[in-house]
Amino acid sequence: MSDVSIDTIVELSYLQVTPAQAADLGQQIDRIVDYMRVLDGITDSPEPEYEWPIDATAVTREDQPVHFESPLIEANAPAFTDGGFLVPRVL
Amino acid sequence: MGRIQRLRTLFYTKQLSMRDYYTALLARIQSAPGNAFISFFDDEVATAIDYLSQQDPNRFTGFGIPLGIKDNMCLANQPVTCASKLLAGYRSPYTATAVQYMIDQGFVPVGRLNMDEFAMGSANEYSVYGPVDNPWNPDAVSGGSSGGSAAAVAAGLVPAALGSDTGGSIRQPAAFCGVVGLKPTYGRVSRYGLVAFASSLDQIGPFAQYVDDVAIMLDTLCGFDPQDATSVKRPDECFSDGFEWASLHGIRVGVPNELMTSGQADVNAAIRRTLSQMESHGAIIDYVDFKYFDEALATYYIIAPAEASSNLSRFDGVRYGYRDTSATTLKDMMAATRSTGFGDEVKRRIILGTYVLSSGYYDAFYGKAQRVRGIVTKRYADLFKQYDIICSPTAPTTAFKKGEHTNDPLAMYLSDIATIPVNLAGLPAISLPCGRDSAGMPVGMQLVAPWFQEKLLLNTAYCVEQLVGFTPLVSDDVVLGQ
Amino acid sequence: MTFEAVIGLEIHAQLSTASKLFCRASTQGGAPNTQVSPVSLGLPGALPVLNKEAVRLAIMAGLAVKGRIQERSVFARKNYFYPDLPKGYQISQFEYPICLGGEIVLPVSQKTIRITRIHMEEDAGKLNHIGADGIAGATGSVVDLNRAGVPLIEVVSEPDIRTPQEAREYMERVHELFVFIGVCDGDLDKGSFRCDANVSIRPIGETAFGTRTEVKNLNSFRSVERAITYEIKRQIQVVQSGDVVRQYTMNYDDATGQTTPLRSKENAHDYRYFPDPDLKPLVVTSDQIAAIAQKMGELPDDMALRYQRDLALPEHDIMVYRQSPALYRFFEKARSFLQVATPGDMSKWVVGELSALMKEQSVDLNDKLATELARLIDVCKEGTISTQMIKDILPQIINGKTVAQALESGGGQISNQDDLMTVVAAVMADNPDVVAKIKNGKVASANFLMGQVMKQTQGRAKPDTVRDLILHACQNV
Repeated sequence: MSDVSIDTIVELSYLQVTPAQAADLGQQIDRIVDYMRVLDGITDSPEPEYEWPIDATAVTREDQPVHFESPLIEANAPAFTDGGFLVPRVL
Repeated sequence: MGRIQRLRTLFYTKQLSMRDYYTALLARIQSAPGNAFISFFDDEVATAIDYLSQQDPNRFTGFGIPLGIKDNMCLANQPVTCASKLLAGYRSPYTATAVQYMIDQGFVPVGRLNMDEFAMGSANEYSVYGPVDNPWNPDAVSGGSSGGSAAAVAAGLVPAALGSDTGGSIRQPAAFCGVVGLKPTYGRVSRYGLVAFASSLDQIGPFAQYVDDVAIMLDTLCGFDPQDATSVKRPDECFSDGFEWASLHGIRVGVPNELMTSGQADVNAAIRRTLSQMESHGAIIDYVDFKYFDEALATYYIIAPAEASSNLSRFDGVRYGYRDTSATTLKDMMAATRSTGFGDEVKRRIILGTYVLSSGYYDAFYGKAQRVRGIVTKRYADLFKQYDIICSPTAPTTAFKKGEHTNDPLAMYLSDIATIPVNLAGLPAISLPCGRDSAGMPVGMQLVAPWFQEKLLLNTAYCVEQLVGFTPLVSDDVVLGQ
Repeated sequence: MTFEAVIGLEIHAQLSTASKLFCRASTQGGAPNTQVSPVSLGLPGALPVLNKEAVRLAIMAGLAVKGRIQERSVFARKNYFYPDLPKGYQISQFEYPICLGGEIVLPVSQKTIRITRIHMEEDAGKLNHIGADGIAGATGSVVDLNRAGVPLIEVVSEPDIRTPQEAREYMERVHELFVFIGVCDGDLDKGSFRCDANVSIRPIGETAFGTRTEVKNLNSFRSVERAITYEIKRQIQVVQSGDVVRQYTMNYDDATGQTTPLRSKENAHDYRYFPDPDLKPLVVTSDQIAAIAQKMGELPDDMALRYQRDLALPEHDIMVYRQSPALYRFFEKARSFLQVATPGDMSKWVVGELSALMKEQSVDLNDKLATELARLIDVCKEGTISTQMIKDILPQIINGKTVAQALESGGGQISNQDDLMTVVAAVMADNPDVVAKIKNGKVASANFLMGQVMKQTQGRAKPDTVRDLILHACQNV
């Protein structure tokens, strides 16, 4: 991960790691990314775009609302108040 | 005849009391060693038996058949944790479509099965519940990520189990545990209610001891689901009919050279032995270079983590599951929750996925991987012009010892070389036992068929099964309560 | 140095669907987290399925601005973390939007503002801060996901706008257009129609763009104008003080009329867009697009032109119809039933009395009302009733009566000739000179007496009868 710092990626991923873990992860990912260089050897298919053999048409649905409610919405919440999920302060 | 048909008949004919059977079964599986099951649906089982005992058995394909479900499939009001701390305490308010289809046909979910955390792993060693023993040798891994599903069937705890397969997560543990595991064509089985790992690769599939069991389960599992926009409308087909007349005569089998030269020698020997049996029964065996295995593996380890990094973003401690309460601000809470809630392998893949999608790297990795995925898929399409079935070892080795690969992620990834390209192309594939290695561990053979050719795949697998005559670890009588 | 502003708007319009973009939860709102589903809660295992109606409405919007509808568009994931975003990504069209190109012509200047693209996306939920009025000082926040997944289209303009007034006009015109064709309810108070503005300045004559800021949170026409006015001034001051404009995201506070930096774009989010593997590419055929275009009906500009040219309606009536598509559609229906009166005769009543009544009571603009209104206007045109009588009868037909029933039950009309004659005689007695004129052959003067009779009867007399009575009585004097 020479060009981009592991710290940036960790932050984008909303994770926290110790510097030692970061170094370790960086190395492992470097190895995996190195392995991916095998793709550099591949020249793109001469055919424009390969057609996926499985039906590729989007499935859509009618515009009819269905009501959903479950006591588990609240029961599953780590913190719940006034009908909503309570989270710590933003700032 | 497989276990499902026999057990169903025992219940139909009242030779076996469903209530007595389940009392004994639950006692047996709750005390079983090996860590395959992580929880049991006692109350629901009782309710289901009460219900079924008042029904006409002929209406139910899986009348009273116990079913284990992998811990990444939702069942209403039951926990689903993906073997992760992050989903500790979470209970699903709804049922996965595939699970519901099974219930509708009389299958009885008995409990949740262990797995690698968020289905990321090939040994079932990355689980918050601890590793799953291989029933053939408790020091060996069960394979992964559906290790619990494979081990539960192999140990005779259930005649049927569901797993999910993203890069081999059904077939590889099936091979390691000496059972049959099927990954259907992408889109055959609804993913609604399957906790996503890599959406374009994930597919639910059945585990059982015999091919015809798996076929009966597939009959029930598949079907278009309006709640899954990637599920596919297909004409009705019955996969479990007509095995008695199935034949290998004239079936053209292509064997990728690359997968027969590397790997464990006695694995390859078992495959060759089986191939020559097939040949003597009319199959036409041919060796061919697949050419793109390394590229497929690299492609998979871009696409799967990329999709996973996004799919796993919803686990943020806000609405459900585990929350790290040590932090006082929002962002810290979310990041701390994810850091202390996810295991190392999951975090590694999230970071890898974030990296390959990040600006400046997208084209070099993700964009390129999508193009190579097309090339791999097209390679299969070309091969299927010459062959009806592609055949190989399911994994380069038999089940390895626990702890052997945990410090070397790349080595672990390489063990999925035979199964991964199949997911990239969305093809149906099956793993079935075809012998044992010198240490007595089962060897799995993988058969791959063209898109939506599960019927051909299962017929061929059935023939191979008859030729091999593999002896299961646990006898049918034990599983059938006889 | 004199500066000019370069402005582009990103308008977010909520599509008028009953259910959300990717799940069946209702879009109606309500108590927190009651309009949700496994999908909009971001529950494990839930999958999105696209709402057909949202696609239809987005295509209509594209056609209405004369954009090019794309036969293949792709939903992508925009990845970022925030508690109002339950999946950790927003599903939005990125590389391949549903519509490319298009334009809006401003009403006064006739200036064309080009549209870059229109894409579909899902809205986020809402954070209610507790312990303080705003985010600052709050002790925590409560997440409500009722809005999460509500379908939006984002209309991105080219930076063709030069003044805050143009920005406002553009926003108003897009609003009017979308409400008119029925793709958006246009309710600004509920956030159904809102926008962000990209603002930069440059010395007049310069062709390169300056560094732009993005002003967020513009929820009314007035705030668009005010916020941009303030932001232009702020940027000019920054430059004149020798500093450079930084690429900030600015928050607009309607209470103070000021913009303040939200976060630096230098730390820009890396959204890691990629095609959503849960959704296949959206394909619409040219036949489907044509069918939608055909069903869409007339655009407001075409309506205005036609009304001016063919019906000679006054400018004011046309403006009312532009802004009230319901009234426009009713007028179109009702006027088709007219047999005697002109559309102009009717429009006056639709835009005037009916429109006024609609502010007081709920009026069902159904076909029966259209038929009866046409009848009423015709009857008046025939001279059977007075215009005052229209006023009396209109509320009755709104409440379900037919014109015939209203007239039969009297409808306030004085039908007794003796009663009427009493009034006529009194008016004639008061105006002997007019009576004399009529007697001398100036029949037109009868109109004056008629007016007096109408006045005294509050218009409840049948004009033809009054006329006959007056002429007859004059001859007998």
